[in-house]
Amino acid sequence: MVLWELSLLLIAVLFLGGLAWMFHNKPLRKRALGKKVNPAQQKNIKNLHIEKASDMEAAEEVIPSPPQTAQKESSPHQLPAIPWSYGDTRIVALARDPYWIFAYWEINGAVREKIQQQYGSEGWSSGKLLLRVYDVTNNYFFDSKMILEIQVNDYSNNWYINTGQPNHTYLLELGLLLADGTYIFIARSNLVTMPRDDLSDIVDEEWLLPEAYEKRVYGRYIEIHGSPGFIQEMELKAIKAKKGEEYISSPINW
Amino acid sequence: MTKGYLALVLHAHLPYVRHPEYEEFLEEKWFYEAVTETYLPLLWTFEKLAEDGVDYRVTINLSPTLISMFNDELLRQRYVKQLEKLIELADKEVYRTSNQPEFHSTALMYKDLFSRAHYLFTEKYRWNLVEAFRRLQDAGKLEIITTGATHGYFPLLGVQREVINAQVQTAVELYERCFGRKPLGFWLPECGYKPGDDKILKKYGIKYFITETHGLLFASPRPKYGNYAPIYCSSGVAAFGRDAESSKQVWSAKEGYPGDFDYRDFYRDIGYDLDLSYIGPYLPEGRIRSHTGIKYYRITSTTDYKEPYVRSWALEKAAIHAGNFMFNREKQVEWLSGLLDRKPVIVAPYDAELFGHWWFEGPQWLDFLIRKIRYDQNTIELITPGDYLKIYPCNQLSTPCESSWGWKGYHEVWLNGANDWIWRHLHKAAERMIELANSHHEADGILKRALNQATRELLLAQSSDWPFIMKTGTMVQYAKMRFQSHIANFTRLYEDIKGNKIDERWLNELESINNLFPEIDYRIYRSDHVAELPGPVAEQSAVPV
Repeated sequence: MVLWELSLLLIAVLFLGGLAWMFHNKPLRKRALGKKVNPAQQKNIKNLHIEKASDMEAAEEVIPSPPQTAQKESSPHQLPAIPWSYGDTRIVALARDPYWIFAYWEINGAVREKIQQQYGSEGWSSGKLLLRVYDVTNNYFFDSKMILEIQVNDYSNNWYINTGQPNHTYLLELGLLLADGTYIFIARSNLVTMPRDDLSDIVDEEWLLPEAYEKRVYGRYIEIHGSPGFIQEMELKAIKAKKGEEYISSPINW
Repeated sequence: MTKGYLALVLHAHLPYVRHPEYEEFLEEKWFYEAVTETYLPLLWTFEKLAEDGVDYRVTINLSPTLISMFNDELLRQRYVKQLEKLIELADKEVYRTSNQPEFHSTALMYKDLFSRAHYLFTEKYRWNLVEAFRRLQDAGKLEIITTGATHGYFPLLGVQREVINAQVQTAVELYERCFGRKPLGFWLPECGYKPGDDKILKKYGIKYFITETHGLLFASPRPKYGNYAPIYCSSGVAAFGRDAESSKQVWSAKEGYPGDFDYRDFYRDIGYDLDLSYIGPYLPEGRIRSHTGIKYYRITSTTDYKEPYVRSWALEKAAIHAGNFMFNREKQVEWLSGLLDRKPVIVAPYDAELFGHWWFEGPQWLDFLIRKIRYDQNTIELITPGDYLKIYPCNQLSTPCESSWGWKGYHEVWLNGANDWIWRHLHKAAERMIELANSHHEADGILKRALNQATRELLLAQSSDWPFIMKTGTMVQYAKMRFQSHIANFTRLYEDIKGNKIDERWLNELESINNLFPEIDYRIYRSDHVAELPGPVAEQSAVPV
């Protein structure tokens, strides 16, 4: 019995050790190297509402693994070849959660060649590939401020970036910084808005009543109190509604 | 007097798995098992309730891929063949256990369950389950809703608005053909919501969708009623929030009902336990150990120690749990009615496959619950979200929070080290499909067929099931194979169309294998479908070129 327990312990130790080893050896590119520009950004990370799995009923149980007929798969499935790359130069940003952006990119050979032609053959190899993160919340391209600059590996084509600021909008830029300090723009991403992670501060209420109901409600009102002015107003509203504003707000709480 | 409402929402979905190129295919069993264990028992439960004159309202989402499998002739034939083999095995089991009283009655139960499935499928419903669901909707019992065509994960696909349009338009058109009306509600795949997606739902006449709890709680402006009443997005589509409390009671592996020791154990299956010479003929390829569906043990304990299943105990527990669930909802509603100046609605969505497949007694629990709510109390009433909006058409205007019901509440399940590589291919393929759709106004003949098949391949590649399986770590190879083969097929079709060199034989083959959505029209990817939508929401700008 003791022997059995000892062997179990040994297995556990080996397993944990293996795990630790695996994580230790994880390629660096998967970690975000970005340093915080503004320490205030840290504040939200501490009081996350969703971070702990136990806080979320939407944990694994919510989506059990798909019905598994067998633990084994029927036969080793052949994997058809798909393109490695598409010959584009682009960067795409996706929000993973309120704090992390996932970005993937591709730099086409022609772009590399052009840089080499202009800045010499060592231009590319001695330059640093940079991922710049701009906070463009509310101000889009103008007056946006760079909040992170991450040096990425030349061979990587994706990155997870910790911005730590929910509900902000970002823009990513990929560029090359040459040894002499020249910065060469390569690609700009789509705008990415991070999800909220907390209750909204805005508590003003606005209410909506679909047009069809409004007609019924006010239609009855017209029958009873129909004044020409009111009817005219309703007609104007109807015209407006046809123009695409199908819903109007109503301050009434039903 | 009724003080509040409970909206039970079942989400029935399976990825499209159909392999005519093989005699038998292991992953097709996901569908066969779910039909026998979940869809038929649920239909049977709903029919019995209706026959007994029980008034009830339940919302069910039937995903377009599932509907396509229900309607597929080959899968129907294969299902019945497979079910007949299972009945044969159950017969043998009745004989084998004749001297083992602790197992014999359970063997008889399976024989009964499978025989009834056979009767329902072939005789009562005449191989047409969609029609059976339709009748229940027409009778005013079910509110059937729809979801993305192939259950694509909207928040990550949505960098191209055309993709969301194609997922929604395909689903709504299929729904109208199957159910003879427009869907009122839309199940966002994985409850994945991103502000702005509601505008596309609005375009197809959708009245509501369901979000995760914090989709409503973190909405802005802050919803006055929390997640106990819907809000309107700026588009006018209503969002209902999932209730955390009622979900936990059913879902949670630890605290939830399905883990009760008296319920049937899912993992101990004779496919693993019995000698290969006996069970072999009922296993894939005559030898691959897997679930048969015949399981004799109850959960018993948290360890591997298992005792025989006792059906009467399990049913007793299902009744107790139904009573407990109802009691808790009553208390919840009583508490809420003191806070709200309207009747609250508790939205309780579940994966349909939980009932019967994972939680064997789930359909009975549902049956007990519905009857008890009708006859044993007056505090709560069953409702559908559509009905609730008729009672309360005026709702607060607010933008739901981007969210999902997956682990951690956002997109990480579908965007992590195990599956993040798929998105560049999905975005690129979509860009190419949009290009094809925009540049071919009126295609016909083989060109049209190739364009339509490219549409099918892209839709199939977009299933959220593939990244999900890659993340969970079981059957990963199959998910990769499916993803890569649809991307490879799409890429070749794109190149063939562009190069004006379509291989008709290969196209024929693809059409016969990946045959879902026969009425598909590639023009669903045209940019003018989304061009007139108000915007821009910052993150929805197209992928930069």
